Amino acid sequence: MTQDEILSTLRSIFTKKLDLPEEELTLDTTLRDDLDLDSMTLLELVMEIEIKCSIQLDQREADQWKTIGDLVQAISKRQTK
Amino acid sequence: MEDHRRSGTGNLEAPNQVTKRIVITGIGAISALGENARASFDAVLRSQSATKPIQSFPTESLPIQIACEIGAWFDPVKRFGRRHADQMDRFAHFASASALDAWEDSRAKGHYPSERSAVVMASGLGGVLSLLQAADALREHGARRVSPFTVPKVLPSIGAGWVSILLGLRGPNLSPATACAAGAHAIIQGAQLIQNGEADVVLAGGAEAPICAVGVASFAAMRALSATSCKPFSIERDGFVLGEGAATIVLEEREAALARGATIYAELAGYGQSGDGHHLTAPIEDGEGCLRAMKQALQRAHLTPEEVGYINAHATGTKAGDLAEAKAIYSLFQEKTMVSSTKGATGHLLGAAGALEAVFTILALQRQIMPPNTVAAPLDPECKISVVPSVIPAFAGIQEDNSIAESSFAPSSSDKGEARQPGDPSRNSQTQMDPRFREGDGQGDGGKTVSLRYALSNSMGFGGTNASLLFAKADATDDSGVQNTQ
Repeated sequence: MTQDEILSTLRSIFTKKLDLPEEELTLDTTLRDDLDLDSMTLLELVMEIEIKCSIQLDQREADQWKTIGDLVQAISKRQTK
Repeated sequence: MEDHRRSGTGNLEAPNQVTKRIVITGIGAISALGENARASFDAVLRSQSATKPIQSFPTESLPIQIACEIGAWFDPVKRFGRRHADQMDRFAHFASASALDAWEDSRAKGHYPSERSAVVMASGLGGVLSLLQAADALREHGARRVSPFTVPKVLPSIGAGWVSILLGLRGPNLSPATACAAGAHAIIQGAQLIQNGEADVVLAGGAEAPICAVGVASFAAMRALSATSCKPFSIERDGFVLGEGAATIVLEEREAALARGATIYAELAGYGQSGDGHHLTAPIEDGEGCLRAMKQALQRAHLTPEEVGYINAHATGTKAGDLAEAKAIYSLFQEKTMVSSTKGATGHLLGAAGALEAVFTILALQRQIMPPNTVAAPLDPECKISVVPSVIPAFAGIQEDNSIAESSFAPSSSDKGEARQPGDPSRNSQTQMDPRFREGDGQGDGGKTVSLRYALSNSMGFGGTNASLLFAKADATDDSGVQNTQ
């Protein structure tokens, strides 16, 4: 998946699960302040991401994911491994 | 001990403490019969039953294929938003829906400090559907597919948690899990919080969502379920039908409720609770545990059995349970008090049953009409009690009327949080009786046109746990507690 495809996948998951308009999600959108995600909600979203992208993210890194861009990077990194 | 009739402080006495009169100022419910308390009660009056073939999962391999399910008309996403709805189990959806309705109905918002506003929301089983979903995910896809929300969806106390979160109520937050008596115990516990001075206002009720293949198979394995219908006190009774839903009432101290101009539905005049110490699932044969609970309720209110006009029985339609309760009722009331079970209409809501039936009992007192014993089968002569007829002629054949449902508890944002004065037309629209539902109609075939002033609601649960709630009509006693004669 290209980074654009990953972003598009994240947009689809996040907008469906969080009832958000797609245009609200950019690489700079912050998970905590902009989306008001707590750690549990983020982990639930990660489950969806793993299914959709057929990867396994390292959930111990979750604290480092501050923005949608960070998540795109993390997914991209796992794909290349 | 205070006298409910003479002292004005006689309900729910607590030794060495000031006793307070506890009143009900708001009600909310969701059941397979309707989206709110009024719609559910009106359906009961029409002798409707929500029993239908199960829609939500395949039943071919199950011995029982019926239940009282809440249909797709209830949309938790619409009600709570996607994010919250996804984080809740179905039982928490019901708990929250009924509690929000009751809170709105009471207009208590803003009248009490949030730290003195308590929630006591019972559940027998909690989030079993979510637990089963997690088990499926684990088995089929491994541990990484188990939702991080599994634990906070499953906890039986999370209904109380959600209600407090959604309404910002920061007083005591509790959740009895006493099986099929839990809803009644929640109301007792709520009243005690006010009596003990730990809360000013309490949202008390119960919620349950047990309808799934495992739930049906488990109760069927006990031979507890009927394959056709729930027939309380009937000679043909052969078990109960699973139901789902929730009910909540708002409890307040009477003086405070009157001071803020609340409309009072009824008063909790007394309660009783007991254990059987006998058997896992069977009651004591002569209903001795249930009898003690009813006796306590009468004693707390200083009432005689003759003064109780109606009993909403626990009767689930099982051979042993109905007979034991009928024996207990007969030994205290003989055949003088009218009795019905509404489980034929709603199904058995387990940990929510006591709360939903409390709401029906409160509405029976408010509207002066006894709910029918919804069963079209001959009564069991061994159950020597006076059973309310299965059909109330005035309601027979009346189809569901949306205007009734809409007039009940639709939240009105304009007057949210404001005290309504008695006589306020907006309040009257909620409590006014449909013209067809006239006083006394419910007593026609029962031959007892007495004015209903006191009514009991019984609950009995597995493990041998019993509760009895005694409600008084709002104006059964005056300010000084003297019993009104009209």
